[in-house]
Amino acid sequence: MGPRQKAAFVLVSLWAGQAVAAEVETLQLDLSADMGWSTRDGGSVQQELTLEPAVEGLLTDNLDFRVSARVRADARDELEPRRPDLRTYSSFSRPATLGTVGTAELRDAYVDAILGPARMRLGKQQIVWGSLDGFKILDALNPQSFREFILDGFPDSRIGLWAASLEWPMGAALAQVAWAPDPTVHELPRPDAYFAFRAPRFRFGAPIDSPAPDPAVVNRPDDAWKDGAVGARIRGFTDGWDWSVVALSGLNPRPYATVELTGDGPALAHNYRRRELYGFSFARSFGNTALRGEAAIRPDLSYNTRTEEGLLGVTRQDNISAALGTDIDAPGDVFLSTQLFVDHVRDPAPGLVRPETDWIFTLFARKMFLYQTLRTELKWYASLTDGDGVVRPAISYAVSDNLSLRLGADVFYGDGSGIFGQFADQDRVILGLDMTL
Amino acid sequence: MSARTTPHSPAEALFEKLTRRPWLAVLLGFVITASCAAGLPGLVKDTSVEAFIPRDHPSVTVRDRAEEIFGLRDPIIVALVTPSRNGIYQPGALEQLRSLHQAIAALDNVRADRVMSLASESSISGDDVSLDIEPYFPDGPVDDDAISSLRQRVAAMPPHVGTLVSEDGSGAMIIAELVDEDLASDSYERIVGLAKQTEQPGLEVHVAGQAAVGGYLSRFIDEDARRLQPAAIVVIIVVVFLTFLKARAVFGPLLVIVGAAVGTVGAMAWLGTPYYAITSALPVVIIAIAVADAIHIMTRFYELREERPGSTTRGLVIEAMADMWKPVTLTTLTTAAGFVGIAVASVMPPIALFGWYAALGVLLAWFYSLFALPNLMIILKLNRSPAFARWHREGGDPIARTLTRVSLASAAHPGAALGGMAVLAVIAAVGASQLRIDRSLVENFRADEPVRIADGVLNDTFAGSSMLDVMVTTDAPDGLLNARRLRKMAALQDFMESQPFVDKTVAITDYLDRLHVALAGGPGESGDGRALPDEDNAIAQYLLMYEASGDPTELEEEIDLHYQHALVRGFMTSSLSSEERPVVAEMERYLEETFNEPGLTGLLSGRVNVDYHWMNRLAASHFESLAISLLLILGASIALFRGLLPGIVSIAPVSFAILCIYGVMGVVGVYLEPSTSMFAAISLGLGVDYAIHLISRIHRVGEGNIQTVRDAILARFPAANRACFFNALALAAGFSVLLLSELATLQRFGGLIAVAAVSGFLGALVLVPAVFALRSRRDEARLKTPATGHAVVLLAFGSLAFSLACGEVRADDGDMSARLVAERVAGRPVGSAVERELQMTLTDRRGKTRERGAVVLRKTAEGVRKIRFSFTSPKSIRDTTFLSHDPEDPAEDDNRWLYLPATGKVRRIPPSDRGDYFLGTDFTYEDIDSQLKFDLDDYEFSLLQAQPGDGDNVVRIAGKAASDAVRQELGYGGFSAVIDTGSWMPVRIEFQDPAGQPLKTVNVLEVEQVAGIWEARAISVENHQTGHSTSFRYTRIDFGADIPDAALTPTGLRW
Repeated sequence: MGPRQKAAFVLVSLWAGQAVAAEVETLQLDLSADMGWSTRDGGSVQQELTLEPAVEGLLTDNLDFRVSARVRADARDELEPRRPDLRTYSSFSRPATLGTVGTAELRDAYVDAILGPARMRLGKQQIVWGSLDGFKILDALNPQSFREFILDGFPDSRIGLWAASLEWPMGAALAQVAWAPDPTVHELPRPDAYFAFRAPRFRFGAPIDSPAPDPAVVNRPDDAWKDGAVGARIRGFTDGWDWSVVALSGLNPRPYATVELTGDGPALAHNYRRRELYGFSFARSFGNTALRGEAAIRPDLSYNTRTEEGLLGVTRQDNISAALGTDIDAPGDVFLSTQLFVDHVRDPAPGLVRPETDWIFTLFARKMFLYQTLRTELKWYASLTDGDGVVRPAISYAVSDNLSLRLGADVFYGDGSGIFGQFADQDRVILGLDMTL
Repeated sequence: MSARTTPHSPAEALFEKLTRRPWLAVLLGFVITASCAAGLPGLVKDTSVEAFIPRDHPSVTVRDRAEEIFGLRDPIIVALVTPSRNGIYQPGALEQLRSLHQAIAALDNVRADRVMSLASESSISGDDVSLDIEPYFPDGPVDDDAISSLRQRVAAMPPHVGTLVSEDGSGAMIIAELVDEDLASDSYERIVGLAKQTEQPGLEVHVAGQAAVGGYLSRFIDEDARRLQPAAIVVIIVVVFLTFLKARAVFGPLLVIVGAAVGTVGAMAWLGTPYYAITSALPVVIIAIAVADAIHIMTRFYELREERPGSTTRGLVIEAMADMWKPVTLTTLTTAAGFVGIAVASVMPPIALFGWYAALGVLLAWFYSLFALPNLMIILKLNRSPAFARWHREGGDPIARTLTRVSLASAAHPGAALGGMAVLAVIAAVGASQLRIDRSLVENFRADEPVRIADGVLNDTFAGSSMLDVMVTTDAPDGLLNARRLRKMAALQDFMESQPFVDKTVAITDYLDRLHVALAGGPGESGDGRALPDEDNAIAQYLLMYEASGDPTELEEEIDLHYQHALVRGFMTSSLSSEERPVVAEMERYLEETFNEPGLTGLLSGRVNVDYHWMNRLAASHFESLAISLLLILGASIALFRGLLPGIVSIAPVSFAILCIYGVMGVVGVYLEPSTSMFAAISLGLGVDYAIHLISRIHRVGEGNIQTVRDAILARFPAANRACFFNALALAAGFSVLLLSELATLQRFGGLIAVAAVSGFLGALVLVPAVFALRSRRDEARLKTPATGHAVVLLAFGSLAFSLACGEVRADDGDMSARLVAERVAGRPVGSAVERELQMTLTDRRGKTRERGAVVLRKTAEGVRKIRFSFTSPKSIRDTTFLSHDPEDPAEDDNRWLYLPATGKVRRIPPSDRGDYFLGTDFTYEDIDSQLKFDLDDYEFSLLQAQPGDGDNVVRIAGKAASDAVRQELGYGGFSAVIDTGSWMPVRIEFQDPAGQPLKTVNVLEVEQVAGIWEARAISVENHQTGHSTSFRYTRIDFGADIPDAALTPTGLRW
């Protein structure tokens, strides 16, 4: 444990100690058990138990707190084989490893303070600025874990950051600034993980079947003050329109690769560079349809190129991404949501390891039965660019308020170079149980 | 019933307190019952006839004096009867007589010296110089010569003819007096056993007499008590089960009836009140009455259970008690008044005590019903009753609907109904004029009972079993050694024997006659009257010679040792007091006018005389108690309804029923006797309950939306009629148990009350609606007179205009249209901002529940209604927040957002269809948004007739979806709603699906006025198609809450 981790530990302990002395409003333990089987050979791929204790309460009349943790252990150890590679975490946000089978991490540890009309949240937290399903445009402040690619929900995959967030009303709008002196970036799966990236676009252009060792070097800036993120958002509700504008600066959590010479010879290095993001969102209802959209531009985003000879290069291009979604309360009490997502690299350099433009369509259909105790849903993510996709049927039943069972499947299709097709052999069935105590 | 707009009425507050510790209250009930039961072993039985007349009554004192002087006891009489004339004069028969006599005399409880028969008695004969007093039976075997002598000598002894031997010689009797009459039952059984051994072909042996009857009665009372009370309880349980079709429902009434019955009899034991013959009916009476309160209370409870399925059992119990305590208390008072009427008017202690203790039992039943029953109902967690399952949908069950049709028919044709009843009343009155008050002790028993057969044999074969005695008293010892006085006695005997049913008299004069004939050769009775000596000294000498020649005690039943008192015993063959009554009256007149003189007095005595006075008192007290009961009940009813007419109507049905029963009794020949005489007053107390329940539902016609008698019947009678029906059924069934009694008199008593219970109910069913319908017509006719009519019209218009100006139009203004009602509902103030805490209970069809807690903010500003719904529990959905902005301008779109704390983001969600269900509840978004109002553009409204169970001060409207689009959008084809006209809050809304099928029922269970705004504090909705239900209960309502605008914006949802 480094000095920063110790400092974080001491800080959390102090908060926890104060929390004990404070008025605890909620003491909660969420427990999940997930059993996953590969449809390819029927073998078990996941035997995971997750515990998420949380405590919430009041320190003073104007000061709330929340502390939550997550302990995750997977007997199969295929999602994160061996000891997880946690070098992408800042030293004070890094989870603790539980041998090879799991991790323990602090998910939230913050206080909410009411400061006149303003509200401040201070501590480890998730700052959510987007509203898309499955993809992120504005929801860019917190990095995420790709342990299960994009299959687990954002609340689970989003990585909390130590941050300070201040909100205050500005007329009818609400302004928010956030500062996260926590240079944590995306957690990427190890090359032998179940959901390890296989497509060249995620492997800096490396061919599908080529060996993909762990990055030997992770050049993640780790100066909290200098490499932290800062962002601002103004959102409001005007004439039926929800709108927001966002500006953000921080480390691009997605790495670009370079080859570095080390004592052991040339090695793949993951590099992170700051990037800015400017975007906006909107939403509005038309009859029984909610329309929502997000768009952002990220100037000078770093991308890898690879020559035919296999030489890695780095280019910096503007990125424009946008999404338009509709949520419909369809007849028969079916909730129907569609999204069209586009991600475009302006003036791409030759050899760009990813397509110039990704078009992705998502469909989400949900119908509840038995007074919302039985939930059936179907998610379909389809890349219109590569013609691949994933279909995710699921059913869950709330046995009681505190216990629910779920059964789902992830069925990928398409070419191995596609976003989804790369997992065409990774179809799985999951049986899960969630309890809240 | 309207939604309770005063949820904390004093009654509710009281029952709230009383039901805080249900187990303790029920335990207390058990302790009280057990305490009373502890006294039961000390209960004293007194089955004697004497108990019915005060000990100090002259007839009793004379009888007691006679018994004391002449050593009389009520005997057991054994009659040996042969089928042929002079059949007893056979060796075998006489031998049997002698051996039976000896066997009886040898019994423990039999006075050996007071067993009389031919085997013990002697004949008197003689000549001028000697007196021959010779036993009838020889010492040795009875041969033909002895029989011939015996026969001749019996014929010459008039006192023994008709008494020891029947006049035709076909039978003989053994008269045995007992040492201890309390052991009569045992002695009777033993003698019957001996008699059976004696019987042989051609010789029947019967055992009868007062002691036998008393013994029989005692045994029967024991058996009755053992059989009838459990039987009554079983019958009542069956009726209660039929009433509610729930096994669990029987425990409450069971507690009440056992508590009341045991409490009453226990109180008797503790207070040392004897358990009389008539008292055996008391527990049955109390059991049958006690269950009535429970039936009415539980009927109301189950009604409420249907109305508000989501409510807690305790809440419903409290409400049912708050609704029912008053009628239950009032009917208790009227019933108790009936019994008090009996108690006050009756001069017979057992009946007076019966009245008092029955009144106590009724009050105990009230106590258990109001204090123990609700707590037990809470403990039992009574669920819905299948008997009420379709109550609201179908306007009652088949029983209720059928009975209501009868009431409706009566109201529709009141003239015919009342006319028919008047004709019946006249016919009944004619029949009732034939009613006689009578009594026969043996008719207590069934016709096939041996004791009753024996009594018939005694009357048919011998001189009779009923004794009418005259105790002749002189002013000094030896006063009867007076020839003139004895001739007066003989004349008295002659007069008595001239009376109907008096077959024979026996007195000292008969023995003197024999002595005079034997010694002086007088003419004898067979000649011209009794031959008595003219000289006073001769009388003294005859008696001296008799005592010297025979058994000195043999004449002690006829004259005392001081020759001052003599007994003239008349034997009557009657068994009915009505046959004896004129004889007693005639005898009294004779004694007064002819016999009594200075120094010589004749006083009537004997059981016949006692019965005469008793029955005279009964005749007076019966009608007196009926009148007192009627007056008490009438007074209570007038006070209750604050009107003379309702008061009179309340007693009319049951009076009619009683009159009809009198009529039937008169025609059929069933007479009124001491025990059955109570039926009328009891029936009055019981039967008036039906009328009170029905009148209370009809007499305020004109209030609320109940404008006509027909409205009142349709709206309010089904539940009341049904409860009264089962009340009557319980009474009829409970009292019918007395038909199982061994005592015919109790059978008659039970039967009469059972018939009165049913006919009183039927009378109320017909008469109450008819009278009120007639009154309503009369009032209408009066209003139709020109001057008054115009005034009324002007007044109505004026009132309406004024009301409209004041904005306070009420539904009962008559001109109110359905649209206006809907507008009133829509215009009901809801406040501009309110913060509420909500507890939701979702119940699936298997009864599994899920609880949700939420904070609900509502604020209307700038034409937008904003509702924020934040879950506070369970933990799994805590802080999940739903926000809606619904512009009042329908052209503008609704806006909705959902904040899921797990995702950390506020998500715009599509406005659901208004007909979509809200967050897994049975409420639709429209239900939530509309706040129990109806969008005036969605429906075409119409006014409906109120339905049974709608309650008071309500109006019922229907809404039909204005178009197919609305139908599809809302998911409702229409609705019918009961609207409280005080708050303009729906009490109940029954929605139909687009196909017109019943979909769901919304019940507003509790309404409260907060800061001048009517708020539904508790609402439930049941989906009839899925069986799922949801209840909302607001635990906190704050109209003064300062809700920041930011909290109701999407940007403020996370906070």
